[in-house]
Amino acid sequence: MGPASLALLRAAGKQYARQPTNVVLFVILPPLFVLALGAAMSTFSDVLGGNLTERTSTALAALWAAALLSGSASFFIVSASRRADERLVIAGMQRGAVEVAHAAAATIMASAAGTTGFAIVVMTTDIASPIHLLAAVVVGATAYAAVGVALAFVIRGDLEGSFVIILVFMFDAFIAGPLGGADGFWPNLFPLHHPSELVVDAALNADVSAARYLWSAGYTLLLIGVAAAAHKRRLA
Amino acid sequence: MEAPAYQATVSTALHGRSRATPTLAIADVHKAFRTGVWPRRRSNEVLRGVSFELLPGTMVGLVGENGSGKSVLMRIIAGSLKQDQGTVALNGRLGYCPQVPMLYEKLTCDETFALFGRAYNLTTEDTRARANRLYEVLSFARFRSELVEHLSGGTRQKLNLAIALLNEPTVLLLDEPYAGFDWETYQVFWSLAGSLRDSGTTILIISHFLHEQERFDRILRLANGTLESGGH
Repeated sequence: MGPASLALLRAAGKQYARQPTNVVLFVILPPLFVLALGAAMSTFSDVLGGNLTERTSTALAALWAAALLSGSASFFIVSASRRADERLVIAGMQRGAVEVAHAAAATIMASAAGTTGFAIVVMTTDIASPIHLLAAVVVGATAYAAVGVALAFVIRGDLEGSFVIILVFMFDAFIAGPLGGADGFWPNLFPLHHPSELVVDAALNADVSAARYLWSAGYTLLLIGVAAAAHKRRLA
Repeated sequence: MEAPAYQATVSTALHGRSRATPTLAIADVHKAFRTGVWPRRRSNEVLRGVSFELLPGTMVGLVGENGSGKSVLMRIIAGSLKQDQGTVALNGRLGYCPQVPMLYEKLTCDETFALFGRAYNLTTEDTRARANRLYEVLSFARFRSELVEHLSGGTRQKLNLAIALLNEPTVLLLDEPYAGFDWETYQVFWSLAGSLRDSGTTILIISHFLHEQERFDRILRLANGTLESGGH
């Protein structure tokens, strides 16, 4: 990463940290999801037609918290700086440097959100394969970071953006994932479907299917491509 | 009536300068915006072949009714909007002050200067020295550690203008740069613009005020997507 991207990344970090709501959400959301909602979700799963145990639903809660946090954080970081970034490019900053800075900010948010949720899960729950769980949570968070970045170039208002991210997340978590026992092809279309299956495998078994990783990685790469294309189109 | 594409030249008699290479040359620029969705999709042609050239050391006013395409033309020149047709040739460093400040709301003035200094490829020392001069000239040094979101409209506009001046541009594009300025700052602005012009900077200013038009070396009047007259 060049000095220009680094300077922009530092600026993005400052802007994020100076919004108290962001910080509060980052501190509250992972423990709230994992500790307060995780176990209750196994009961809710019965209602929706799934069959999650307390262990798997707690592990899934870490993925959800990470996805929601990284999606909304990436949206806010890119959305808040869109016009100023445009001016930086006019002033002579390379478009690539702006793109790298945003990608790095989204990756850092996804990793931080994923690691926080993961840490709470492994401290409170017996997980068969923590490494696979961490990988699945970070992949899911990265997919949502890409969704957040792409939406920031399509949706103008913060409120509208938050609403769309939450709407996609609700479909993703409650209908397309193991919580609702989704079956058939259509659940594959949602970003968290395969990372969720990975999380369930990681919570219960030491081994996970390589095909799940391929699907998760493929879908996430596709979303990153969409986000990059939206980014490039907007700053072009 | 549509005026033909206009090639502006600055009278050498105005400043006693010999004819020099244009610092800005705009040729046959067209821009249309498409709105709506099929079957009600329509195209609104904002610029229909705008052409002019500006020489060093001139201050030019760009005037026209609301919606005549002044800001669109300026954004095209700045490079933040692509024209559908035509060319923009810029010879030198560009400074652009947009109508609505495009700033990072949660950075301080100092941090904003530092970031734009990096974009202009200035050293940290140069950025700091130039920022200090601009703080002094525009009288907002006491806000240097304030977040942009906490600045008043006028102070925000000062920062907006200062960012455009930070790289000591040879071509300066100002889109109603004094909105929100108090009278004293307004006077300082024109004095600053005059001295920049005298030192060879080409300045293109979007203006709405008739009384300001005497300050310009020439006026470019946009109407119906083209330049209407050669000014005075």
